[in-house]
Amino acid sequence: MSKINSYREVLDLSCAVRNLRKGFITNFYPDSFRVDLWCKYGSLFYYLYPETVFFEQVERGFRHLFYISTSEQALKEALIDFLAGHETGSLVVDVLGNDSDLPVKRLFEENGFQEYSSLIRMTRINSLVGEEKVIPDVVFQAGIGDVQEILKLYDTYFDAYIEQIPLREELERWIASDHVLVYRADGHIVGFLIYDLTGVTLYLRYWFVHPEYRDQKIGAILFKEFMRRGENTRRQLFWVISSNENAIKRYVHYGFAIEKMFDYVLINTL
Amino acid sequence: MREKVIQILSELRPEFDFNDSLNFMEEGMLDSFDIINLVTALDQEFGISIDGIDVLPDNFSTIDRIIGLVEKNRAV
Repeated sequence: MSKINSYREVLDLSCAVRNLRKGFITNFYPDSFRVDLWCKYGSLFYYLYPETVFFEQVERGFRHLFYISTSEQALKEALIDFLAGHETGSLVVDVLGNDSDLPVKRLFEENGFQEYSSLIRMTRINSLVGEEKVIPDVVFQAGIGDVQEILKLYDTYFDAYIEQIPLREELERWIASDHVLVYRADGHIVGFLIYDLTGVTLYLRYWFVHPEYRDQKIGAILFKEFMRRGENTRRQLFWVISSNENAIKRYVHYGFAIEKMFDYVLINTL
Repeated sequence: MREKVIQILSELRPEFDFNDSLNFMEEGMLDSFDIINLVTALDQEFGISIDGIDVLPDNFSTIDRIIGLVEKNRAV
């Protein structure tokens, strides 16, 4: 096990596997900003095997596993070695793909991982011009002073295995970009929505309403404001837990369609 | 080659017109997940193996850059 100290190191390790020219499979799509933060906090490590690199990111209470490999066979051999020499604790791995039946998922399941949850990607392709405008004084832009309160909501209500809870710096960056909407009631933030806007693509990252304030259309108000802000985009997308049928129905109502894109969250409690 | 690259991009993200963009990355038409899939598709289509050091977002930002990448790796 070695600590990763820079995003460059991740690229170099990826490059080394790729340049074996025997194939390339991965679940690691690193964002340089996030990797730099992991390096800053010393929470990213790698394990090198023939034709495979595992990256392990230490989260609160568990470790997130990423892989880069030349093939399923090489990954399987490395995984067996990796697990045999691994200390105890929960390992979480995301397996992504365009098919609901992924060989890599089966590979992990054959080695002690169990499906914890799954997500599907939903997309809407069109212009959002003409979306209903929201009442301007109920949805606010989050300020830097809201960071602590939002982080506390993450800690309390989000499932870290599934949701990839952001670091403080990531939240601050979204706030600085004006991409964090909050809904306040009774002196508190009771709902928030965080998004990325890149050119023609609007990406919903997080959408939350406090359990005590649900069924009051707060989520719908935040969502409409989100869509209004992306009215010049061509594509809007997000991941949703596949078992959340009510939410999926609601998204379909808004014109979203299920993409052929799956993310299985698997866990191994060693 | 240009037509083939456009076809691959269109199959990857059919919602976009890749002829009408100055920078696929900055305009949010491709993300890191798409790039990995695009590299695989280019490798298969052109019988190459794109060098790992070239798998950077900038190299996939326009059709000309993608073509340059394919040609560079064909020459290896």
